[in-house]
Amino acid sequence: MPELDKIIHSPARLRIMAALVGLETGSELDFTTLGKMLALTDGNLGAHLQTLEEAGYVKVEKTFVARKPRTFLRATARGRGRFEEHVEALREICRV
Amino acid sequence: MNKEPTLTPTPDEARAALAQVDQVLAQTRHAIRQGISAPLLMLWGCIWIVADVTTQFDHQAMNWLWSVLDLVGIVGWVWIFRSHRHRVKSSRGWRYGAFWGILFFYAILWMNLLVPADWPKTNQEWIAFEPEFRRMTAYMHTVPMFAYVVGGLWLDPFFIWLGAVVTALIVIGFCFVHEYFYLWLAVSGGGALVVSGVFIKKFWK
Repeated sequence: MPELDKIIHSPARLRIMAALVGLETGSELDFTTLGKMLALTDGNLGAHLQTLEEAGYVKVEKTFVARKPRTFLRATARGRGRFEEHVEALREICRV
Repeated sequence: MNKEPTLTPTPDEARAALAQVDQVLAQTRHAIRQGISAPLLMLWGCIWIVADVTTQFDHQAMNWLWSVLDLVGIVGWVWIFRSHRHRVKSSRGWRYGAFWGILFFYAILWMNLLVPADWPKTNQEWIAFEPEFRRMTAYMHTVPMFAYVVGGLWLDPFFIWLGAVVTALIVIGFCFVHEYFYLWLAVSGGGALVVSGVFIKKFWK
């Protein structure tokens, strides 16, 4: 029986995980792009990402592109697995 | 920050959460494809328009113009991909480039093997050569549309429709619009690519 994940269950974190899981495995999304897509402020997004990173669901990588600092994010295999299980648990609830 | 919800959602809350997930998944995929597809479609649409309009009125220019425009297209393609890198780092990005490179290699290989090596120099030679050139042009315009249709099976049904509709327009022009075939290609083919690019840029966000 799939279980809900209390970290992913927060609406903002659910959307963040959905956006990152929507990428191909191994692909990364830029912090600013994600914030704009989900209409989250930098502070709000940063706080949620910290929670997800600490849980091992998201990998945060700081790098340089064309000499400008960029933060790239990707869902880890653990994060993808927990997200899928969470979504499956939500589907189970809908079937009740 | 939002208040954390309880971990025992009602079926209605679960449905709302699933709807959010579906919406964000679709939004992510569209936003990422929009960044690359829209400028690429507009670029190649413009290239088709310039090349096909020129062919209609000055066929001799085609001897060199397609080579120049293809080069412009490839440079633009690389630039668009490089500028997109600051938003998304795709784990399979190189495969898309390789796919298009291989596809065009085969298309150009067979075009060169199947058509005469000598380009017509006089108007009379052009009149004799034109049906051959029309076939070759129609073929070369359908090659990327084939790629859109096949790619659309994995990426988005929009590309299946785009490839299929433009291919149908090319075939209709090839069969029925002989005299103004290249203008037809410019409007229906190049025009369709530009309009699709504008549509994606405006609506896939």
